Amino acid sequence: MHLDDRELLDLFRNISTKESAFEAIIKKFQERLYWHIRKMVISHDDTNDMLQNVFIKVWKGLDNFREDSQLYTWLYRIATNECLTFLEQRKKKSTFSLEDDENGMSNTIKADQGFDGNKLEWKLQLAIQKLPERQRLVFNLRYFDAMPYEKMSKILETSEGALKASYHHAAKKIEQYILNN
Amino acid sequence: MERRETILNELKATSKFLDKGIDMPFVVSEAYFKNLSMDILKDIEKGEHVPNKNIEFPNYSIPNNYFSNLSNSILENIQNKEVSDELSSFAPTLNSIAKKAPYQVPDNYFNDFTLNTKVQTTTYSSETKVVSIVNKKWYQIAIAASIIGFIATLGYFIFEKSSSINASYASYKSVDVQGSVQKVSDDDLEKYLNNNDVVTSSTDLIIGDDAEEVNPKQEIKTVSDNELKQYLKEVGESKKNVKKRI
Repeated sequence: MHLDDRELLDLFRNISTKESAFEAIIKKFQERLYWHIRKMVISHDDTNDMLQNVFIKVWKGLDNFREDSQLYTWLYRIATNECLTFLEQRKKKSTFSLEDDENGMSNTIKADQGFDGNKLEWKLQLAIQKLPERQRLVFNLRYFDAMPYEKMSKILETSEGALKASYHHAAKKIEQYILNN
Repeated sequence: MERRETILNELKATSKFLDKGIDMPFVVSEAYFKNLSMDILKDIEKGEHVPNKNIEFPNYSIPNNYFSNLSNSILENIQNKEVSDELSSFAPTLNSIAKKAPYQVPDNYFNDFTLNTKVQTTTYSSETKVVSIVNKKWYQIAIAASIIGFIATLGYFIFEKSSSINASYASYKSVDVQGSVQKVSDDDLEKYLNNNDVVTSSTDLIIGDDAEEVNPKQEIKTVSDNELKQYLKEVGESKKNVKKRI
């Protein structure tokens, strides 16, 4: 059973329980953060590297965490920024066009061992890759994690209205893609 | 009390026997409720209220952490319902797809992840003071010296190369060709021409580096009248000879 965030933070600030509290934080959030990243960058190896980076940043920054927001929101924000930075760097490194970058992501999906192009869940993943990055984030957080707009607004620092509109457009685009392919 | 009245009225309507009302036949001593809490505490002290461990309850099973996770799972269900209702209004097809990413994760990945991160956090720990094995001041001096050395070497090669080009050009320019050629014997010159394939056309000779442009009008002025007459006489005789032969 996981401790609540308040207890974890108190334990982390105590030098004698700092490491064990950090391990507990990892245990509590690793899976949610892993999937949040994985759905954005697709490759497991990239996700693993980024998850390591996220927790290293958490270790360095948690002493200064002011608790203006929930620990969960703060962690998601770090992971989200890490994703956006990674995708931006990958785009810059790529000498090809944006379309080629999308195709690259689609190819990574198709290379997955369990890929089955006839199954709707895989078609859904291919459709998600067609969305712009921030819209993809909004769609993933709402569709897969059922995250309330209020929380999402704190993570992405965007108004709830804009998030609702973005999700609405994303869902419609994805549905069109699935129906036409 | 109102409910009691209502119940009695209903009973009266149902049966005449109950019309007169019935008092509760059981009697409890007045001190019972007064001393109840004290009596229970005494029983607890005596151990009379401890459940008998030998009694076997039916073998009902509850999932691990069921009650601790209950509130979260209810909240999740409510949120999932919200998402589902929302989708049904503008993209109903998506409601028929499993809301779980289909990607594979290596076995025991999440169990092993903790260990992997532990190593890194130790490395990045703010508590750990990293002591450099090299004296910082000497280290900086060494780096500066290597940079200066590199720049100096690079500069030397660049300037040396350009000065050697200039020097060789100057040395060529200062050579007294005519004097040098005069020093060489005719035999040596002949040997050189025989052993080396020196091919020079008239054009090469005219269009040399030092050749000046030849102006025929200017050049003809330098020829004397006698020389011209002599030339015309020779040309005229040679033409007559050619006509006679024809």
